[in-house]
Amino acid sequence: MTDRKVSEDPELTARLRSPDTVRAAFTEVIRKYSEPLYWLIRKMVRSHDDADDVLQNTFLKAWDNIENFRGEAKLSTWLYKIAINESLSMIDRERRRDTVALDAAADATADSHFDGDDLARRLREAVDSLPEKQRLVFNMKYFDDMKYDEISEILGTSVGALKASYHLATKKIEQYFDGD
Amino acid sequence: MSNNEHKPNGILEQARHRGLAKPQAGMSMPPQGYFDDFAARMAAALPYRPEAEEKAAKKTPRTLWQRTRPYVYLAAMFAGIWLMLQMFAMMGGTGHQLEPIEDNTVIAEAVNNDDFFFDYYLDDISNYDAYSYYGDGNEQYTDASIDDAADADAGTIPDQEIN
Repeated sequence: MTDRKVSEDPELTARLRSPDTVRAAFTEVIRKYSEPLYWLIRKMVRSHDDADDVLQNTFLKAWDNIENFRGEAKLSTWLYKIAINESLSMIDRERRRDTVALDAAADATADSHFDGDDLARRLREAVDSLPEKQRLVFNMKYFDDMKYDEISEILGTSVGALKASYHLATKKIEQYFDGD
Repeated sequence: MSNNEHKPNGILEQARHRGLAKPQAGMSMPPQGYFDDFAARMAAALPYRPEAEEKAAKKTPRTLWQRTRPYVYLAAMFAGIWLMLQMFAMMGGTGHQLEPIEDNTVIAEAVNNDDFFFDYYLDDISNYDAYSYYGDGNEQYTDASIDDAADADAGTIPDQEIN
């Protein structure tokens, strides 16, 4: 599954609230959301190993707080919020240790799994050159095809600010390609 | 690529058209079977959490006293306040007054009874008080009669008999 869009399942949310079914339901949540969350995290932390660590932490944190999930917010929004917070924490830790994650371009070219599409690689490089917040907004809007309302709920930023951020990001990508 | 293709919207639109506007675009793929393996690994690693996985302990039914206790306390508090108000009213002279002693038939009858008067009342008063009493128009009780009554109580002979 490569599509980010995972349909919300009210029955699954209901099962998460029952002590008898919570574990089985959460296992299903892991199966449903591990891939979209992985890519969201991966775009932030860049390396697969870091993404794997952050993804594990995300689900552990969600499991630790599962009884606090009342179903008022969408399950995906709740999980995305945890994943982004965990990713930012990982990036901060990496920065403090002064061992910034591998440069995306180097990672892409060095990785034998990379599909080798030149435009995709250069687009990724352009996106990676963006400031963190703009990169996050651009990734969620362009690559993950999320609505502004949903991004706003996850990041706690107004829709207007998100639109401005996305617009700036596209301008910078334009400049990146113009500079080639 | 031509210059036109490198224009920003052109680039982004071109990338979208080529199916690159997807989460994993431009990134290396994780190892084969990673997501299946991850789900199994993660499910096995979930710690047991009684807060989420155990039903809340069934509540024991509350006893009658536990259920009525607040109301009993409330009633007691109101009763206390009512009694206090009654006491203040009585002390202030605005509320219900105690019955005057003269109107009490039991006491009036007892006071008019000579036996009671001598047995229970005069024993406890001094001669001075008694004389004061006689001076107030109660001359039917003479010194002699009072002394005789006192002697009789003490088991001694009245003065007149000695004389």
